[in-house]
Amino acid sequence: MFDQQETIAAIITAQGMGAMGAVRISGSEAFEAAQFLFRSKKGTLIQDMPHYALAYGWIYDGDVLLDQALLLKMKGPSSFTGEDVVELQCHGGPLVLARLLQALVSRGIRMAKPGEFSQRAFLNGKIDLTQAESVMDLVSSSNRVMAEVAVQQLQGSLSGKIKAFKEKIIGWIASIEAEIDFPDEFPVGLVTSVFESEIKVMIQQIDALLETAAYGRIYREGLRLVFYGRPNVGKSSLLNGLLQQKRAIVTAEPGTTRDVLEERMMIQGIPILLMDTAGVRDTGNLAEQEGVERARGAAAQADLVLFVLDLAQGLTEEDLLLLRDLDPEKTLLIANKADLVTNRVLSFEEKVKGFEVCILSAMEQEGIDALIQKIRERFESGTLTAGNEAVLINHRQEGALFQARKALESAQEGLLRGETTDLLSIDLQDAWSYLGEITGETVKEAVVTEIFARFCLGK
Amino acid sequence: MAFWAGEYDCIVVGGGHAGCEAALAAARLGCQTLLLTISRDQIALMPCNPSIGGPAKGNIVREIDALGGEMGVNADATALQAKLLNTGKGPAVHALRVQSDRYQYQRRMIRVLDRQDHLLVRQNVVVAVLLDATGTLVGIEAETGAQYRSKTVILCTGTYLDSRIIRGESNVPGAPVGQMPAYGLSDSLRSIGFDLRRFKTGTPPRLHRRSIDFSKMTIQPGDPKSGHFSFYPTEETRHDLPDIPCYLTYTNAQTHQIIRDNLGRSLFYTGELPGIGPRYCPSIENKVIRFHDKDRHQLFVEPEGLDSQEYYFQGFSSALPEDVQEKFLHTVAGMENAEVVRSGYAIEYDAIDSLVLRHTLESKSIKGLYFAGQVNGTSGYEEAAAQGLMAGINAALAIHGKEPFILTRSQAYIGVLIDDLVVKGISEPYRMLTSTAEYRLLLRQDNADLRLSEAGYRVGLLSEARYQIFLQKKAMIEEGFKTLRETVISPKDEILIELMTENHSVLPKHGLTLLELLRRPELSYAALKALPQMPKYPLEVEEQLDIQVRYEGYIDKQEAQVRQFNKLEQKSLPQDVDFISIQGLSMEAREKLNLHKPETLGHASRITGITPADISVLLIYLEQQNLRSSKERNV
Ligand SMILES: Nc1nc2c(ncn2[C@@H]2O[C@H](COP(=O)(O)OP(=O)(O)OP(=O)(O)O)[C@@H](O)[C@H]2O)c(=O)[nH]1
Ligand SMILES: [Mg+2]
Repeated sequence: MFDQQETIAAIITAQGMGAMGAVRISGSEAFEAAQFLFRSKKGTLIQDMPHYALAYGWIYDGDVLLDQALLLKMKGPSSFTGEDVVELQCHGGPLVLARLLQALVSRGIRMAKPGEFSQRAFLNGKIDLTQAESVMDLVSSSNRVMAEVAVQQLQGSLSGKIKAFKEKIIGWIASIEAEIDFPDEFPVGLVTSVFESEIKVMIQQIDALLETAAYGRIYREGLRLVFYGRPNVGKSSLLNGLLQQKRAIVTAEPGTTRDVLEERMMIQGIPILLMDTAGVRDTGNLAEQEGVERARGAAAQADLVLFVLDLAQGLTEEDLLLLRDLDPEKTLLIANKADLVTNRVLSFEEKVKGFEVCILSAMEQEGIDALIQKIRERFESGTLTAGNEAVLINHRQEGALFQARKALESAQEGLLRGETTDLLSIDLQDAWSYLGEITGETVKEAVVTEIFARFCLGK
Repeated sequence: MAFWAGEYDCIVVGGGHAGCEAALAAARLGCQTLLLTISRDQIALMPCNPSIGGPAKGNIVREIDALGGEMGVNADATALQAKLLNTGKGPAVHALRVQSDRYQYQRRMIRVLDRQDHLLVRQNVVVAVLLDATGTLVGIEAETGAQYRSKTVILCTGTYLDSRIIRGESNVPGAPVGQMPAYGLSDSLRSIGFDLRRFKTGTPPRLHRRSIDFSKMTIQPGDPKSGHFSFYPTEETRHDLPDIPCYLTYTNAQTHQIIRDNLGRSLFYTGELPGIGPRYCPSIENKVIRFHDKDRHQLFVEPEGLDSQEYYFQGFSSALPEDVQEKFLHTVAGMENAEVVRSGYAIEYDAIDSLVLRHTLESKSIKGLYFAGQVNGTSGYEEAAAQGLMAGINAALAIHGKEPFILTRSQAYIGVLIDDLVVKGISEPYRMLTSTAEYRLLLRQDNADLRLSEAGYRVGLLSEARYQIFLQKKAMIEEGFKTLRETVISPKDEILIELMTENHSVLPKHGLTLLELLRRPELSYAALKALPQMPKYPLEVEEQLDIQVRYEGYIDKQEAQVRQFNKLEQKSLPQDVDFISIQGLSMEAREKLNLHKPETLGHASRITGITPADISVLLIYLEQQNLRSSKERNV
């Protein structure tokens, strides 16, 4: 574990899924190795690119052109692993990716083992052990290396919540202790009714967390992206465009899609559940009516609604009506059929203020990359999460959270019995400590060694 | 000219609260001991407030007493008033605070020292620590040229190392109550490798009794029933407390204005002096600045002694010039005509970095050289006395070739205090707070004897007579538990019925033991004493039964916390590791760990700058080492 690190590479998109494939290279030779394979369109060298910059170009294996590709450069230590990292995203299928990896290996780059990127991220202080643990949970199941990026981001939201709880508890403990240590300033005890109501609120929040913390939901299901809008605006066409295959039936007739159609794919390392739905309209057809209901339901539960409208028709009254019920934070407005208009300036921009707009043509496959980029940005900025409240919690963390809840409950009971604040602080101390186990701030030997035993120790 | 003046097992430098305990402990453990002090007349001086105890500090005093130290008895014997604080905040944090007669306190302590076998208290100023060519401790040298050989030296120099007294623009060499600073020793310490730093503290003016208008203040009487510090009362301690009251008054807007207008005349505010002051006992000017939205601050007026006309003005410590002090003093209600007999001042002094010490308070670099008290950066008499006691015990044990005596964080406040000093390190004068103790429900003031007297006896400091008293108490508690467990009270018992109704307790359907009854939150030992079957014991025994039964659930929880804590505490780190080479540790952690070489993972976790993530990495590192070595064994 504590040896000089080799440069490693692996495919970080799921095999056989979707159209985009990506390879990550991490280590001191990442830039050099990538440079051998990649020629940027503008002729820029990787070493001259700024941190977090993208370059468009081609991948060659020797003289053989393998694919077009997008190269993302991240300089250590501010990368996922803490090392120099290059990610190559290309369109080619598994074969192309395999050849790309082969080429890297022949340059002396080693194939990464499952979880190895996370292991390095941990050793370089980029993620804590519990974040690493979550990755291990997934890696050892079915999803392999590709889950890592996403987990890291999701874990952030859990730690954030737990840290907020902890801070609150420390505040309570501090006020209790101040009263004890400075009796001249605080001759009488604290008013405990404040604690009573605040503890109650925290227990409720923990319950909510425990409820939504469906283990690994994201990785079984992915982020829900729901296509939504009036009939015939091109929802199904867009789904096909993203998948790069004719998955959904497309006809010129409104009301083509009836049931909710689900399809999985990876968008730049993020597992996605795409859902195509029936176009929303009033209809006498019972089957279609049911479809419309399902569409509304899917939109309500979406992590991100892709609201599609027909640019040739502009923003209709019905569009506006549907939009009114959508949260701009969780919606991307897609103005489709851009190929049908000559002037691409939105005439209705005022009316859709607050919504991010993406103008494209599903038919011409134009603007799809920009859409993907927008989805990724949403995800990275944290506004796009799985269900607003959902966090990734594994079994152990769930157990600790449960223990913390129990301690708070015991504090609550103590208050009801009229116990003194000093005794109360023992339960609060316990709650704090259990919460710390979730974020790794409370170090328990058994936990640490068990987690790490699951890393590839390499020996 | 230097000359050899004698040879001792142990030399204690300084006769303050640390020095007294250190010298007594060493002498009582049979070491030939010499205590050297700048002034024999200022032994055990309380240069600041004439009070002992309070939250955490009171627990320390009782711990000192349980181990066989002197402070508790001395405070009890010279008390003017006592008060039990925090009675409404839980059993663990009840805190005894005693106002002692400053002069009697000193007089009694010098009497005890002078009557102690194997101990000589001698007036002289120590100017150097003597090492031989190999860096081994030889002894000390005093200003008279007298050189003393000694196996061990305990430096308890308090606030006297190159001390300076500051009032406004005036900044002169000086020490409390007109004494002289300890000069020379600072240079000597530097020359043998100690880094010194400048700490400061301060004290308020003392006022003449006749000039104070007490009618404008709130009287603060004591409570004669508060009890004593000492678990082992003697004729001396059992006296009726005189209950001389203290008084409460406040600053006001005018006071604050004068202070603000004159800040420019404080060397600390003009930035000319670097001294780091105590956060929890700030000067009045600091309070006015830091809590600028507070329109008044509390001030306590406390008697200095039965015979004395001096009153101490707690909360009014100041380093402003004397004329300014008088000006804002006279704005306080009741102090309009107050006559100052000693003005307030700040004192700056040298302290070592306590991280250079072991848990025994012995220097890591020089065997036999110990440090205790304010020189280690603490503040407070009690903190000093505790260190003195532990240094004295450990010096004596070392001389006798015995294992060191170390208290852990879950055993005693003293353990927390010393661990904080030598593992965490401090950057400002350290005051013991209950909040620094993780397990304060276990470290109660009422059970200090149960926690420590056995150890005190084994070390040899607690006398046979005291130990017998302790054993008796322990036996009574055990017997009491047995009775509580075995005595069943019928639900038809009339006294029980009456008692239960009175206390709104639900009557049981079948017989309950006394223990089960006592467990009910609405009942207490005192309430149950209405039952003739309830065992009757001395108050402190009943108190133990009451607390141990009623808080059993919480005590169990805390003990579980201790067990968890001990897991990391018992995981030793190899002493030959180069932490720099351990990947995954933060750069800061690598450096700190290499510097401090913590003995256990628990120690490492308490070093400032070491994060939980670092500890995880260390755990994994240890795990890997184990794996490797077991593989090698298998080959
Ligand atoms: N010109 C043009 N036509 C498009 C575009 N996208 C979709 N269409 C056409 O619009 C019609 C409807 O497309 P669908 O994808 O079935 O629309 P939908 O929103 O799924 O319709 P429903 O399932 O009926 O709700 C088809 O004839 C598509 O070929 C586009 O970008 N440009
Ligand atoms: Mg459709």
